[in-house]
Amino acid sequence: MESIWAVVAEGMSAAAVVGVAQRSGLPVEAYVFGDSELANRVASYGVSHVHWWSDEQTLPETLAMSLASRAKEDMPTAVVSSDQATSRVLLGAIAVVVDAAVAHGIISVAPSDGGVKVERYVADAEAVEVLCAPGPVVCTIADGVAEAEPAATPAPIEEMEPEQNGSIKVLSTNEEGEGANGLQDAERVVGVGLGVGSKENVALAQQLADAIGAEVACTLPLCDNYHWFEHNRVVGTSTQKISPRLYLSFGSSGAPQHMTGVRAAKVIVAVNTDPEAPIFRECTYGIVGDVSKVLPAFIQAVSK
Amino acid sequence: MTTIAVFKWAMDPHDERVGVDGNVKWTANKPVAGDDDHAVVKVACDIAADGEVVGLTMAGGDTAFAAARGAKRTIAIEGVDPLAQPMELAGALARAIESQEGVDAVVIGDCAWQPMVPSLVASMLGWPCVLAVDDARKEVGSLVVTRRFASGTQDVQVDCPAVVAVAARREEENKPGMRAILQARKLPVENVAGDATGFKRFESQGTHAPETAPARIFDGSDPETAVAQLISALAAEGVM
Repeated sequence: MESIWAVVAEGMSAAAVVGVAQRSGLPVEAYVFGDSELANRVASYGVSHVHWWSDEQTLPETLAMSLASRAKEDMPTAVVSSDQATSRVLLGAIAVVVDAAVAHGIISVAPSDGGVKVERYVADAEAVEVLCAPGPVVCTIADGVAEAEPAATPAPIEEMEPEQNGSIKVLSTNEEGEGANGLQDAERVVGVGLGVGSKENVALAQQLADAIGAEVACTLPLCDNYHWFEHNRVVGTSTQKISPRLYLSFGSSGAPQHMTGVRAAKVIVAVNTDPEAPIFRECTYGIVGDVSKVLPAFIQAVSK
Repeated sequence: MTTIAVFKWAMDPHDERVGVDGNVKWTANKPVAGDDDHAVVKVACDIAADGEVVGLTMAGGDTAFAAARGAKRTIAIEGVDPLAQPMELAGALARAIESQEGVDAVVIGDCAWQPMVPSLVASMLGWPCVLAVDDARKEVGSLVVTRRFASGTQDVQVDCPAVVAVAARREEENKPGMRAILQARKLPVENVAGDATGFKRFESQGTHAPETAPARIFDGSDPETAVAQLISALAAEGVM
């Protein structure tokens, strides 16, 4: 029977990965690497079955070939996951073993005329390209796709035996700082870019964040060039991705390197003086205006 | 032993355009140095220590990027479509790597432009793979690699040979000067025929407009009114 695999190796994008898989119309087999809470969460999304490895006992990367062998037996129509590092190691092994066509940043996948059709954004999301492949496909999903909703009945969870092949082992894990942890878990984030203009406005952004219970993030130049922030506050391609319910951006133009880090936010608000700034093509709401005037008005409004 | 530093192997997606006929077009015709490539060569040199670093590129033209940063020689893969798909790119790279003897590590950018290629190369070679790497050093028979892990970092030991995908945290601080670049251009470059055939690939069926709702934009010339409208909308969304 045809099926689609959803490979989940981290919590942040679990619902989005399952969401893309579910909209294919095929039964979803979930392969989960993490703690029991993550396995239970994926089981609640209406998948057919959850195969769960506890990451306390198994380093997911060491299972790549084992998972690929299983895929060779099952031959799923498609395998989807996030672009998180561990997920990509697993997908790479599967793709080579099942001889799949590979794409990244897809927004949909579905069987079509004996093959598989996927859609992905191209040209900075100005258009959606339709791609077809004759056989199995292995894909990472785009940020910001619609997430799976909880189902009435959770799927059965099968706890898998821990395995190690010994080629990779963990020596130590180092927490970098509390700021990054706060950003990863934050429901609301106030982000600032070069257009914030001055350190006084950065202080206003922090004041707004305090007033609405948010964390503060920044674009790379404010850390590297101006040294106004620690590195663990930078969000973007080469640093970290976040997925708050609300991301308020002040003075960011919307450079792709930064937007990659925030695209998974549920609602993006942009404040910028330039009405042609690319961020206005990606946000949900925007204010075309001066950050130094909008920030005080915002603080006053939420402090009432 | 040899450490391979892969550079200039992916097209910059910012050169991607959608033509009036709806087809995807590119304003560039060859791979360019990625944001991670300078860190790739640095990590390769750290791993190699006294050993040899070999640059490997899929770009024509100036191939001195790695040599100007410490590589002793460069291999340039020719004849592969710069718009090749991930399996094809990985296949061409893996076949070129397999033709080299005594390789104990391949260092490549953990490139947002082509995020699947490093793990595909590793899988084709049958080697372990570590992505999102900050730095690495060689130990007897293995590498000790520092990679990003959740909000911090993690040190892992990986058996050699291995593929290490480096994600640069910053722009290059000390770029090589003209003197170093000119000297690098005198170092050997071996041109090899690339082979990216035999892999399943997608065929494009054209494009259509995204189905995203346009943003709701407020006029900030009256900040108080704009903020009030925005807060009202955010409250309706349930996020404020």
